[in-house]
Amino acid sequence: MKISAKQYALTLYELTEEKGDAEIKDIVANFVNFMKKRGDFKKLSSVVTQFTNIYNNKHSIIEATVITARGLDSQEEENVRSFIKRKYSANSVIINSVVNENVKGGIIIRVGDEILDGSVSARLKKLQANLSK
Amino acid sequence: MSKDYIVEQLKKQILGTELATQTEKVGNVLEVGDGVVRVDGLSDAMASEMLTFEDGSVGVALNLEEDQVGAMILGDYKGIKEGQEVKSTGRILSIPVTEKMIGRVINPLGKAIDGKEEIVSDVLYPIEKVAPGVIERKSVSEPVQTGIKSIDAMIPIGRGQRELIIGDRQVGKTAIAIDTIINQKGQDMICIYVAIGQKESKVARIMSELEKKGAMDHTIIISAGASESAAFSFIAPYAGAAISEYFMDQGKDVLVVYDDLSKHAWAYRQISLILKRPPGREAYPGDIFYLHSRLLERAAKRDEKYGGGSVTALPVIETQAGDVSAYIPTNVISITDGQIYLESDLFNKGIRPALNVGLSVSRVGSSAQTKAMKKVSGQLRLDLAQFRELEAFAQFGSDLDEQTRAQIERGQRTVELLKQDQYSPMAMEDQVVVLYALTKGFMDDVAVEKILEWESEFLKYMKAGQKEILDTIAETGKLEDDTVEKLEKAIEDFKQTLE
Repeated sequence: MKISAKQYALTLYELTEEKGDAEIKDIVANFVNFMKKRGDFKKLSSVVTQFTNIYNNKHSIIEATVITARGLDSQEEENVRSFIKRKYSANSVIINSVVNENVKGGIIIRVGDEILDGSVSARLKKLQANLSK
Repeated sequence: MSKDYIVEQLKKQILGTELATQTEKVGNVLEVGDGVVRVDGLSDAMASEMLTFEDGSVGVALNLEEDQVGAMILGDYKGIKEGQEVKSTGRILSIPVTEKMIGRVINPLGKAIDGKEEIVSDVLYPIEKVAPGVIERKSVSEPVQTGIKSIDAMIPIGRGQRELIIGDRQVGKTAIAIDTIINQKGQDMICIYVAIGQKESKVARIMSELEKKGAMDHTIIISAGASESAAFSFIAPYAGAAISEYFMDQGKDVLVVYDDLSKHAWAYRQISLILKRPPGREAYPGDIFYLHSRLLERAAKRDEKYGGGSVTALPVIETQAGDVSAYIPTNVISITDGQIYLESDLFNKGIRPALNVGLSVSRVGSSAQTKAMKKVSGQLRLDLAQFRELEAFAQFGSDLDEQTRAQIERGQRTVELLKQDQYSPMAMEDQVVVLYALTKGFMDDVAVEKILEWESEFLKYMKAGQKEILDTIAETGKLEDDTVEKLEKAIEDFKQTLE
């Protein structure tokens, strides 16, 4: 029977749940060996992604990518953090800040496959579409 | 227009633009291949929802999987690269529809491709729509005059019917459809010709022929050319159905020709295989039957209580070496309300239209046939059936008894009279008087090779001196006893003039 990356990740999560650091180390080593034996080593990277998803989900941690033209200062970051916390009712928020000059101004927040595009470039595009109608 | 006015308008438009930000669902392109993409994310995508790509191209979500979406791309897919962002639009694939499309050549997305002005419309119709239900429908009651003697007499088509045109390549399938469109001039019928995977040269030829006959004034051509992507071929007939529904909703009668559904099935097979859907018989996907049944089910005759109007569908199927028992032909035969079967043997013998009268049927059309035509067609069918049985004996000539010889002679004349040139449809009343003359034996003394000549002379005579008989038949649609009397006299008189 084939084991999918998701099933691997779920198993790993359930094994390591509420265990000490030393124990986890052993479990992970055994887990990787098991995968190797089954010849599923190339699935490792997607198992890691799935594991992160499951972990974040269970602990209601939100990973958000924030794209701005000039980067965020600490005050802005705090505002964004509390906004996302409220919107997704999450316990904690991990922010990956990305600087991209093409957005020109404003802010783009991406959580999973949801995007909140408040950038100047997006508004300009909307305006263009409306004017050329 | 003054400068200030333009500035004012611009200001208004700029201020009117909705700029509020909303959360949108996005995904990223995982792989691109042959008109099909896989996208991850897009967790709330609907089946056949429109997706927009970064380069502005549009896709349609077809496969919804656990955390991926398989989509086909409409049009060019060279600008789409791995990793690009994909947005869902929240609406099912729809096309603009408008009266302005009449007389135009458009692509399946409703864009003009005949080089004339752009077609704009605010009315959008979804490509896929559930067909009218039992309550809304009524059985066919009005005829579609194809203008082709053999079809109008023996395989009558009613408004709202689905009649399949089937045959090998190069036997005149398209010719029958085009003749029917030409004959709808002045019959209060909007025609839609959907060319699926056809050569552009063929579409151009059809367009110029329709223009020459003045038939483009009531016709829309939807073309998904052979060089276009398979996705276009796939949606073209649905676009045709959407446009015809728009006109039906206004209570109008529509005739839509799908030329041809074999190529449509090929296009869908290609898309399905690339999307890795499991192949079935002849490598077609499992839902190939539903693909055609849901399309043809949208042909309907709607009750006046629900707005009236009708959509008549003439799907075309191309067979390989006359094999009607292949997968797609049997499917479509079972879906439609009858078929017009064309044979290459007959075509090569010079019988054109190359209609096989024995295998062609119309399951519902006879209730829509005009009374006058019904009166003459019964005898005609009988004559032909008897002739087919006796045909093999025809070569024994003089050894046969009187009655058999008479039947063979009549049969030969019937076959000869049912020949008809392309692009020359005939009015119903003309057909009736000619067929009456034949079935009542007035042509029995005319040489077989002179039949068509006799026919055209006779019609000329009728139109010149006996117009009133033709007009009566055209108006009432009936062949009453007094008309019959006049008609018989007219035929006798005409035969006098020949001598």
